[in-house]
Amino acid sequence: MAERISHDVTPPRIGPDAHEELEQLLQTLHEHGVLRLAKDVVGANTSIASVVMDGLGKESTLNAIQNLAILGMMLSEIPPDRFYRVTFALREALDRIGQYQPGEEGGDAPGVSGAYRMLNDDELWRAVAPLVEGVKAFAERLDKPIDKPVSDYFGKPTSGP
Amino acid sequence: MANCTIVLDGERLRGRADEPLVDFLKAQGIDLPHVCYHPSLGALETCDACWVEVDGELKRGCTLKSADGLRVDTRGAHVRAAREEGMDRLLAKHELYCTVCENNNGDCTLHNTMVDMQIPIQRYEFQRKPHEKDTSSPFYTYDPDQCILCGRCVEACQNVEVNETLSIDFASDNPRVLWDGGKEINDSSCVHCGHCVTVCPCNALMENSMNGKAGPFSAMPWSLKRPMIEVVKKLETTTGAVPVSGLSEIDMHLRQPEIKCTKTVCTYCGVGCSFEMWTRDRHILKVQPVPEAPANGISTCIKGKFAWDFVNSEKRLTMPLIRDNGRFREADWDEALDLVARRLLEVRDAHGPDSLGFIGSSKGTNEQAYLVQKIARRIIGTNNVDNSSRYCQNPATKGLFRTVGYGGDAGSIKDIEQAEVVVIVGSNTAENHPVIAARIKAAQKLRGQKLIVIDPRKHEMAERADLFLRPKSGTDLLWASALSRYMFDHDLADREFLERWVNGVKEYRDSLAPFTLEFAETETGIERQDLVEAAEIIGRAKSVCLLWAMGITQHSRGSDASTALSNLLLVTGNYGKPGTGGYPMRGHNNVQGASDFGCLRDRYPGYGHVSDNEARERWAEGWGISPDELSDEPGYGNFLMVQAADEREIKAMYIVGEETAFSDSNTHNVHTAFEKLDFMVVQDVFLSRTAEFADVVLPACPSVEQEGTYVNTERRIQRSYQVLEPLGDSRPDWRILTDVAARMGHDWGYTHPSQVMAECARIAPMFAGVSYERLEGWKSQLWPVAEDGTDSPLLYTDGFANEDGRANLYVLEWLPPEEAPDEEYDLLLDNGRLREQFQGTNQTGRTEGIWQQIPHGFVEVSPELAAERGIEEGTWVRVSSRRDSLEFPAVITDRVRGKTLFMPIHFGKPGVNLLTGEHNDPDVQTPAFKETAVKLEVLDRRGDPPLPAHNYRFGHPTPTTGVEVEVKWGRGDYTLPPAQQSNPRKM
Repeated sequence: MAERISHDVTPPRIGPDAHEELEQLLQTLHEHGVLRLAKDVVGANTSIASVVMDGLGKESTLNAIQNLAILGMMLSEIPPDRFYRVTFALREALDRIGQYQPGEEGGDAPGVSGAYRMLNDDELWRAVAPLVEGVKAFAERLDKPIDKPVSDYFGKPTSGP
Repeated sequence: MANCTIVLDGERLRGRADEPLVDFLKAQGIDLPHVCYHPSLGALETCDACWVEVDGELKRGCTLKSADGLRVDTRGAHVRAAREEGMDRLLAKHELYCTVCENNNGDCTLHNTMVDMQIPIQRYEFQRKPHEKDTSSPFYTYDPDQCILCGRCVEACQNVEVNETLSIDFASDNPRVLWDGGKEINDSSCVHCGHCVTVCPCNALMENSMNGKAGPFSAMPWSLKRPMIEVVKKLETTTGAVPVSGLSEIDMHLRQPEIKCTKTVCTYCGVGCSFEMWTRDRHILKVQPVPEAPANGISTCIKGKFAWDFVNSEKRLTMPLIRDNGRFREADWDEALDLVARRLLEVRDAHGPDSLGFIGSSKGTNEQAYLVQKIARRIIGTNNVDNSSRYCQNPATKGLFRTVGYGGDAGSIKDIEQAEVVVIVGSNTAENHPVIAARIKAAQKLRGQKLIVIDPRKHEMAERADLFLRPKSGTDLLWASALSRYMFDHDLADREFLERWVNGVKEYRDSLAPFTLEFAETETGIERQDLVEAAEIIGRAKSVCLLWAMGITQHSRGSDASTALSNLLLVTGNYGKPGTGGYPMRGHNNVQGASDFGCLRDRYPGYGHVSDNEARERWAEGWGISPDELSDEPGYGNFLMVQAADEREIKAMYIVGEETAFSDSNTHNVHTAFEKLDFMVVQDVFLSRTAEFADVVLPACPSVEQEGTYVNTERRIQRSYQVLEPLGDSRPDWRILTDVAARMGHDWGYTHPSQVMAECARIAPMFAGVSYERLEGWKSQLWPVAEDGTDSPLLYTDGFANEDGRANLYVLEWLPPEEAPDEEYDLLLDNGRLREQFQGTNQTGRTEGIWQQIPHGFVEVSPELAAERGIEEGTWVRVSSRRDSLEFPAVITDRVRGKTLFMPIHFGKPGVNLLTGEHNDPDVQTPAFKETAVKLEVLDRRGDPPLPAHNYRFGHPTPTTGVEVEVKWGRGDYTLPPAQQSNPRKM
């Protein structure tokens, strides 16, 4: 006589536990060479630290770090749209400078006022003229109204993402 | 299909003609941006993102069809601007936070299209809509702020599932998707079939199972996500969208190694839905049906889409249990398998092979079924092997064997879809085979298919029917035979077909003499003019499919009624042509396969009869033994097995994945029989009601933890892949059975289920061309399958499966039901399934949301009876049969009529079979579950309505033609792209 039995099963563990997750992570790190890299880095830690410190200790590196910090401080205080205008104005100025082609009239010195010799120094004028063009472009771009930097950049108006 | 050549941006492309341009280009490896178009839904024309230019005119790519000479330009500035404007309008309605979104898994259409289009920045700012997120459903969520109003969900609900719940009010000031015109999801007619979620191109409609589970960053709480989103949005106003999209692309790729998509086959009903199951570790993220799935395409039901929590249930059996001093103790596999093998052989040696009985699972794989019958026949030497088709479908098979020869559906779901007339008899198709019901509803709605429903119960299909006839229960043979007679008498019989293909026409026609319309009207209660109307529709139709299920088979003359239906189809020539045939709706996912692969008391795999010498010799040769070693006597089916156990004739039973203690009739006798067994093995996923009687319980894996094949109601063999590793120490069925056999001295050496299938295909001609290779991915085969792999979607196109190639009209006699109401037991108890649950709730019962839809059992009482007896909604009643009593609260509904009650089969530990009797169909011994006379007492107890007010049955669907894009276009503020839109969020 096999009477009916009521029985509660032992609840199984569902899904991986931390150890299994760790095992999977280790395997993935191994397969992608990250473990080897990490192993190499840790194995050579003294030498690497020494190289890093040599580099960090140089005045130029320290200057770079401090200057980046200053840039960060400054950038944090500039509204992005103003910064965009200045940087893109600068970009256009630089573009104009780079693209400067002395024209027939632009190749000669004005030669009327100012320092006579300077104004008559064609070579000097040819050198300065691109810079003047750059300044003009810089000023033009600064004067150009923009809605949003991204709209100005992509040429597509947006009311925001 | 014809091919054509089109010219795209000056390049000539050759491909299929008459295809939507989007699909044509996709086949060429070219992605035309699109969001609302879906191959299973067609062109919705709402997203305005797929513009192309034809002859200088803008056209939506989804509406263009490939044809010779079509010249398409996609690169001009104007057309590019139009596409980008379309996408900008979508993005105005959808907040992009992809990196922290659950849906950024590689299949988000909106995300992928935006990235592909390299949108630098969206033109219109996203703004919140004045609608709350709808989290009322336990299964999915609708977020209006993410909704792009593409209408895919509406189209799927209105015209694929045809539940007609969803709509979009494009004319309103702030359109959104609406449920029943403005209800909460869970308070609407939504049946949680999941179509809308499946086709949503973004995260507006998303499975709740995804929440916090999909991506490395998506699990963060919204209190953290929200400020992160705001920061990125702020940065995006300067950086543009590209770097942000880059981040989400990285996130999407980060998810890929963890997320696994595996094709599997649903293990609920017999439709045989297949889909991708998306998992991360053991968590099931979602079930994602795909257009390529051969039986269901993008369709599912509530169970297939959402009821998979049982897989990770803490109640799962994960180690063998052995009965020991009145309790179960956990054991290891070696001890359990040794014990099983030893005891089965001991019983055989002591009492003979026929003292053992085997029940294979109609939910398990074909390979499982094959191995169960191989152990029974090859090792034990008995044909006492069966499956639960004995309780439901054997009468239908018998009816088909008697007439047309094959025990399966005559055609495929495609045939049902294309039939001019569909007749549904004794089948609550909308609840029991929801996806097939959806196809019929769509054919009726979209293509004018005529639907006739003949059923005592007014279910959804009855309400939708063009003609609904409501006979007295158990009288189907009568009206079917009367209709057959009508066909002969009114020159509607297909004489040419009968002459060419059918035997016994004269004898059969003569036998119809008693079946006059008058007699049928008197006995069935169907009015004569309704019978005539049905006969005229069926007789004059060019193609008729007739579907039936347990409303026919679970009667004392179920085989005869099934035969009468098949006779009617023969008389009207409705076999062997597209859109015709008889379709017994198989109930369990593999009830067809379990029978096909030999778990039948008298049939080998492929239906060779055990007493047929040729079949016996073939199997003996295939198994390398003498034919004498195989019994040529049909064994006991499971119903008789249990009775034999009660009489101590059967001493040991091995039951795989069947809840016999719950599903066989007259529960008291079943339990007594099990208690009398000397040895009982149950192999299952849970400690079922049946397993509680076992001496050894073997923990098996559910379908998603093993490979195998299944046969759906169409006879379609499909391959299912392993989604997850077996939980704990549970094992695949095929492996357990192989191990048991090995310990009984028969080491068959299977290391993969494909080897089991290969062996069966080698021996059984019906499966000669079946192989795992030919079933790879979404491929499937409908038996019989020739050696070269050619399968048979439509049977009887060149003859019938009888010896002379002809069908037989089978003479029948009308006999009334064995158990009918009398003076004391004055009511008739009907019973059946509900859409939300499955069988004894062993699987569906582990999903909390299912219980939220239907918290407990009930009995349906007709309004007339309720008024007569003073029963109100929620009044408890005691229902007593000649066997026992059950108490349930009442639901008052016109789904039942007069003195018929209906009780769902799912609830209670003893369940409805405490009331049913052992009277059965003498041809196949299927218990007459639907013939139970009962009496009803009203108890002095009243509770809440058993069906909660939010249940879909109380909803009010809002049928429409689909997505009403014309309303959107008709708004005064709609402009065609590339012109910019003043208020893109409003449409």
